[in-house]
Amino acid sequence: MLRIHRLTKCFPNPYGESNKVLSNLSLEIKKGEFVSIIGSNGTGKSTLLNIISGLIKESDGEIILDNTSLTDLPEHSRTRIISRVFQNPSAGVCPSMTVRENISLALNKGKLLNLKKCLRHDTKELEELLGCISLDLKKHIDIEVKYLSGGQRQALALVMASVSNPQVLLLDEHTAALDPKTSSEIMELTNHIVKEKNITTLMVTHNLKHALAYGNRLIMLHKGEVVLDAREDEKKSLTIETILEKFEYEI
Amino acid sequence: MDVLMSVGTQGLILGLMGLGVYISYKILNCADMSADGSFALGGAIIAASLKSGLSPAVGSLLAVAAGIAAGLLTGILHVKVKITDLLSGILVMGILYSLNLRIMGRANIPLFDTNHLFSYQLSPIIIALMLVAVCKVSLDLFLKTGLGYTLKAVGDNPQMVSSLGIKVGSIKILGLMLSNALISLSGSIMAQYQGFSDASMGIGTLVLGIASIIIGQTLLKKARFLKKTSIILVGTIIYQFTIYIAMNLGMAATDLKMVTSVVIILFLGLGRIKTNGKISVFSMRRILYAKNS
Repeated sequence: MLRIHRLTKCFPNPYGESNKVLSNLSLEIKKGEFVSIIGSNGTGKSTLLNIISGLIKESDGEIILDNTSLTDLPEHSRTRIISRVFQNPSAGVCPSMTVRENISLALNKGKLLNLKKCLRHDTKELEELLGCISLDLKKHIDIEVKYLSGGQRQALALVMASVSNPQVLLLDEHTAALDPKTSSEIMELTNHIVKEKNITTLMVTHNLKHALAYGNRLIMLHKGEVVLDAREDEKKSLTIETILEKFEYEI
Repeated sequence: MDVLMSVGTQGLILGLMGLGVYISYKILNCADMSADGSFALGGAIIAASLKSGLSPAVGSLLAVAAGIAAGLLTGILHVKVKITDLLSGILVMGILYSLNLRIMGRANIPLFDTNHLFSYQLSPIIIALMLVAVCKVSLDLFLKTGLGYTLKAVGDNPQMVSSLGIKVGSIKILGLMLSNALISLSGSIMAQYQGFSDASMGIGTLVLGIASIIIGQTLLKKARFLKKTSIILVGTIIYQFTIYIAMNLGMAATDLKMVTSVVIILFLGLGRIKTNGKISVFSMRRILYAKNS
């Protein structure tokens, strides 16, 4: 279980009053829960993910994963158990390495720093990992990633983020840079991976359709606070129209 | 023939330096100016060692260790003290210049009368070949390991390496240590080959290394079957021969640094014009097709 306890984050600025992005945010996310987080720009969605992954430090509060506090863990120790996919498809892959090399790096997560051969996984094993992707990555296994399309790169980044069975998966608008068709494909792949591996997932998105269609919980943030928290059945009864009507000012 | 052998041997010895610069400049994507200091450091250490009666092998190993220390210092300045990579390198280069003079006691130490690596019966080019082969193969093997791939990934996408749960900074320091170790080794072998060590022998090392890499990669672009390390070795040797020809055409030895810079500018510039040409042809065609349809 991922517990976010009274989390506060202020960004000080030289003009006096500091910008409070998150104020006393508390959330409990069950193991395997797939949470969509929506809200307008500047409501603290990305800040929340950045704090969980250790990229920035909280001003106050605590994050607890399965009874251990993450607060004092440095970024590189957190990333061993928390994976993240970014908005920019190039952020999660090494452009001048091949698909095979990229996946091998991800497969060796946590045991990379030794003198064992890195590319020791056979092609069949790698092809199986890429099998669920409709974007034909299998054919390009020995092609450098910089020659792939944004969608293919993001699919690869997603597979790489999940292949080491992380305890938490953070998706930061990971379909925002893709065209509608590719972004639906990436969402299908995301759903497939999250369900199959039962990974606790937090997905920030501006796409209300995706937020409603996927996952079993929907959270809406506004000015650093939770204004809507709908689970299972309640979430299923939500429609884009009701959200837009009720929370027009927030989207 | 003797001259060609000599140029080839120099090319091979400098190839070690090229491999070192390849690690910092190409793999880690950082121009490490401490290379200039490390090359002379290797020369200084071997001169001091040989003069105090140590064997050439021990002296060369000491030079490697000194290079590792120099890389460690640059790395710590860059990663821990957060000074930019360029400035860290320049600072260490300055430190090493003074340090090398301290180690040697004076600006130039002749090694003609001392026993060194090339005073044995074996021909110098064979010794150089064996050394380069050992270093190249070890580097190739290392780059295939998990650690080697991590090093390559750090230069490619540090954020991804960080998301694999690895401290990017430590890997950078490791890379700089490896790079400077090879450069210092190259300097120590060079000093033994030319028969003297000079405090200023390192000036322009980084630029020379970059020139060799660029020449190799431009001329052998199509040779995909060749390993990157082989391409750099070939590039260094070609470069040494180019310089030899330039000297024969009447260039003074003092012009060399200028020639090196001009060569880099030419190769980089020509590469740019070539791609620009392609782009313009491509866009012309697009315009034509657009009109037809």
